[in-house]
Amino acid sequence: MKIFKQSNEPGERNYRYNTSVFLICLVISAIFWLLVKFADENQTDITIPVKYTGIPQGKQLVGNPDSVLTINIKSSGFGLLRFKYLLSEKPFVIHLSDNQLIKQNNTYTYSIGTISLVQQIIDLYRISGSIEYVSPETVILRFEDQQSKLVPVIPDISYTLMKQYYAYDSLKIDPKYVEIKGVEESISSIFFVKTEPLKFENLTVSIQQKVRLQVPDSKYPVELYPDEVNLFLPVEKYTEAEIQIPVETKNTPPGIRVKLFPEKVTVFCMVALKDFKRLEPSLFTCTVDLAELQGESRKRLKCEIDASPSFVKIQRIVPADVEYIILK
Amino acid sequence: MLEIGLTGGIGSGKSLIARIFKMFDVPVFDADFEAKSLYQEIETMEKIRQLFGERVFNKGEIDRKVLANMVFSEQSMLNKLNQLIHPKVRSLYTNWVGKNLNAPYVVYEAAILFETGYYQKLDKTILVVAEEELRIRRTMKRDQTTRAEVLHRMSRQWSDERKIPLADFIIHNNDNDLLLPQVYDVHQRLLGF
Repeated sequence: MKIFKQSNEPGERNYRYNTSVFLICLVISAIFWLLVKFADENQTDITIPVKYTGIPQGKQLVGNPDSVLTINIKSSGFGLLRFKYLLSEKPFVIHLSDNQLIKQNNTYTYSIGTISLVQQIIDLYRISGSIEYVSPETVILRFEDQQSKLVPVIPDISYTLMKQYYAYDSLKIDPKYVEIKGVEESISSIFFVKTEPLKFENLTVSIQQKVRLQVPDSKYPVELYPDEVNLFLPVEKYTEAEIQIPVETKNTPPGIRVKLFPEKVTVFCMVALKDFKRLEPSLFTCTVDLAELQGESRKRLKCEIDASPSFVKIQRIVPADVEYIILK
Repeated sequence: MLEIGLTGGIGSGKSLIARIFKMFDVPVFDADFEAKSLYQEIETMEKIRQLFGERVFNKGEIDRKVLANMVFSEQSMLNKLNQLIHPKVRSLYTNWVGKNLNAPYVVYEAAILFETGYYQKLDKTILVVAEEELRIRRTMKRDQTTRAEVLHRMSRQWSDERKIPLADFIIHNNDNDLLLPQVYDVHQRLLGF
């Protein structure tokens, strides 16, 4: 209550104004202090990412090449600040040239002294100070010959179909094989590549699209040619059809005749609407196997569809078995 | 040559048995089919028009359902129809037999054989029997009709118990009965006569 009361008094209000003035002065002096400090020369380590280009044709970088360079810079605070926070994300590109490769057994090495890169670094990042040293002093890169082989493509596709719709044919991938390139150590353990996973639900139309391939995990990167394939899944609307076909016998023991009843069975199958008119009894073969009779007495013989057109999906046979008598 | 009658109550499966006889190259005369065909003939249609009037016709053709309701409700009407149709069927059968004299025997398939007394003119008779419930289910499924209608039609036929003593051969056609051995056995025995 006392404080509240004081704050309403004119004299105390002046006291408050004095505090604000103090804080403003403090901030201004801090700024000046920073400007003075940043104007001073400083020395610090800064890391910059490194990229390698011009990798010789048919060769691949192996081992664990340096991915950053550490540079020690002597510069004003402003220069360091600008470099550290604005420019150091920009990679420094080291261009390789074939003639510096040295072959050792099956590997090639390439070395470059980083001191020779100092001027390039200064130019690229427009460093106002000086570079005291670069670490590592020498970048050593190791290469191996790139190998290639063909591997099959495995589709990683799942799908569901709407009622009455069926896949008219199997899922097709084109091309079925792709070329995989990489060092022998990597590609020797890769036997197939998978497509990116795709999921389709309640399909009513055919699928025809490109799908990317998953680059297999390996110690060293591998490349795929092509890196995507065409995917094709024909989908058609089906209807149930029934067709009467004669029952034949197979494995009939010599010297006997067999009568079957019924002599014809009805095959219920699913057929694409576009193929409905192609259905003909002659395209089907239904048999009973008389070898079943050997050694045991059976009342009926099971009917089996031995041949049917590829465009139908057999649902059931009615009757599933037939009576028989042996006529000697 | 023997003339064999094949009969059975509604839904007993006599047509199925007839098919098996055909498999053994036995000529089969389907009396019910022939009778139905007669209803399409102009001469028969005219006679029916004279006997039963225009009400049994629908769009120029005989409405067999209306005709059946009429004749089965009055015995005299049924007799008139039988007197018209049966002689014609018999005549067709006689001609048909004449064409099949080389067969060891022929089969005359009819729904009613004992009821009409025609069985007495045949050499042997085969009766197809099945459990009543099974016959009802088969007929309902085949004719897409009601249980009551099937029972009504069955009531107009003789029961199996009444027909069995008159038959020479009985073929059982329940779901688990094997038909082929039964028919083959009858076939062999008929060939032996």
